[in-house]
Amino acid sequence: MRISLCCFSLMMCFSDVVLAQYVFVKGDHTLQLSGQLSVYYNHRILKDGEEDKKNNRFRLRDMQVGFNGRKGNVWEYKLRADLADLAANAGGGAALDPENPGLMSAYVVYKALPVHIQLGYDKLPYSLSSMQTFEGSVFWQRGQLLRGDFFSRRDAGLTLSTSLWQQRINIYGGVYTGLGENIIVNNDNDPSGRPEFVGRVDVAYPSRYRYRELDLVSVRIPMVRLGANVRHTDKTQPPGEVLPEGVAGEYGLRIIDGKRTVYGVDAAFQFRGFSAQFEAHTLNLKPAQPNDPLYSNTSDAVNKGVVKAGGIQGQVNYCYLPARSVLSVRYENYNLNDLITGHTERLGVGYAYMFHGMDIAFKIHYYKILNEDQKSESLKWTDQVRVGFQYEF
Amino acid sequence: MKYLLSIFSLIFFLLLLLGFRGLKEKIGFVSSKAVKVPEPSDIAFDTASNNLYVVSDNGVLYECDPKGNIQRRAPYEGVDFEGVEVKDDGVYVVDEATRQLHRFNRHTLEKEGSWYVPYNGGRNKGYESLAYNPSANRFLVITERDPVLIRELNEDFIPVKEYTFNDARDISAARWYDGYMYLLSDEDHTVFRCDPVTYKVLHSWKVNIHNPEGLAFDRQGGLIIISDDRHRLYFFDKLK
Repeated sequence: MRISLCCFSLMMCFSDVVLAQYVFVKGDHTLQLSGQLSVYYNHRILKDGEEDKKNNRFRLRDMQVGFNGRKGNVWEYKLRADLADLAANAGGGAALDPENPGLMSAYVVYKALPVHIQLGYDKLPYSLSSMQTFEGSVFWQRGQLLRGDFFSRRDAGLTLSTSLWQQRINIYGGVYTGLGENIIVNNDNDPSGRPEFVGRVDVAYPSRYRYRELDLVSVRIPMVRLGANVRHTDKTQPPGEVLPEGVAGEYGLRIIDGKRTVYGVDAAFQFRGFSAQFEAHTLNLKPAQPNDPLYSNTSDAVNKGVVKAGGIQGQVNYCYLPARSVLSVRYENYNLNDLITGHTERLGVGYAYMFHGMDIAFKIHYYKILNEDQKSESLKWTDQVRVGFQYEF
Repeated sequence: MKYLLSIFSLIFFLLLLLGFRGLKEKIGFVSSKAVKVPEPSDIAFDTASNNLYVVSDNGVLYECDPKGNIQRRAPYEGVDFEGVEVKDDGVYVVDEATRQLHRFNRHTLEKEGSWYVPYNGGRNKGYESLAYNPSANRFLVITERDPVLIRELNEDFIPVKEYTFNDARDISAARWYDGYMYLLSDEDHTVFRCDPVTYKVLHSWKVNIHNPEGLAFDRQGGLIIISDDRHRLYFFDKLK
């Protein structure tokens, strides 16, 4: 603990030395090197009778290195990986954490046409919170609904995008493997061989609205953005075939043997340091096998061949720049299966002290389980505190 | 839980009190006009024609009338133009992405030369401002942030002097006028009047504009600011 405090003090002393990425220029070709380091301590308050305290520990959350390239106004490329997550995944054993998959981006974009063409592996244009950067948030974890257990956040494929009305309107459409982050480990698609289709449109007013959670510049005009997105895949397995191991995720919802449609809406607002986001998502699942666990042993008459899941998340943030402080409150409410009674409610409160914007920040969050879904997601803990430091260069 | 929430609230409000700073003076607003240039990032006023030179994030130089209508467009396209200045028969432009400074002929808008001004900071944290400082008889380029560096250039556009500016989180534009150097901060929504030799802040004003990226003075000394995201020109009273 004493060593940690010393390291922390040193970081404080040198916090103004950091700064910015590094760029190499050759004519109209620029290559930018950047990275991020973050460490936190996690403490859980366990339920009575629970003795396993393995989650009370320090964790190296990020050890990212990235290369962003640009050739004139025609080509862009990005390679970004988290070395800590790659090392963890290489060790095997634990299932892939969709929020920390190791490889984060590897793509090329052609920008010379009105519609930008992106090919490779990157974040999907689905869910406002997912598209926002993690380091721009006060919290040490994305909301449970949006961190990749209900739907994948990254995948390999083709994305087409364009902007209208001075970038107030953004339109995205793409086709992907449908395996999400697992495509990197799995390499091949699942036996169905079918892709996933994703589309999104968002509209901002009165000017373009960047994908940022916090209003760190204290914008001078009230700004709002509304978005809607949808994704669909049919991963019904051929006779005798099964989905690759581990792709279904923690809740068995990310990829199913059957048809899967997810749709969601989101809204964002910011003005003079205050910002708020809201999202709602519904998963419409049609498992192909009548004995699929998602049907929870219900009859066809009860389930009608459809299982639904989803939820909402709302968050408000206030950034007070003179005090270099941000305070956020987040509420989550989600249901893992509409055929099983119960839902989960979580409340999170977070605070960040910005030594140099969110590039160098101390962050602490507290999470409280307000309501537990005893049947679908029985937890060992009731409260969680995470405190740590992030450093971006 | 109530206990933890109380601690959070207490910490937050203590920091509010500790960090409180007085509000800056505001500038008298006159009018605003839409500008047709896509993603405008800086402006320079041409006293000879009463027109404005406007550069765009798309790497294009435009000449506009005072109402914001495009009159001419330079044929040369760069990558990400962020600063523009008019001096004698030249219109000078700095490209943030490629770290190049270009000279265009003011009459034809043809590019006459380019100079590389090295800087290894972030691609979008490079040269954001370009101005001529008659007090030092030098051009200067200013990096946007992390850190804000004011670099004076010699006649070959080689940096010969460097100053660190610590009074704002970023600087998006710079202009010399009437014996002072004026700097504009986008994120802090502030115009600074600085000593043209030391670049020490002498006075500052708050500007209530969203995403202010460019700064110029008209013939009478009225302040003109351009907003990138709003695609608008804002006209203000003369600074006192």
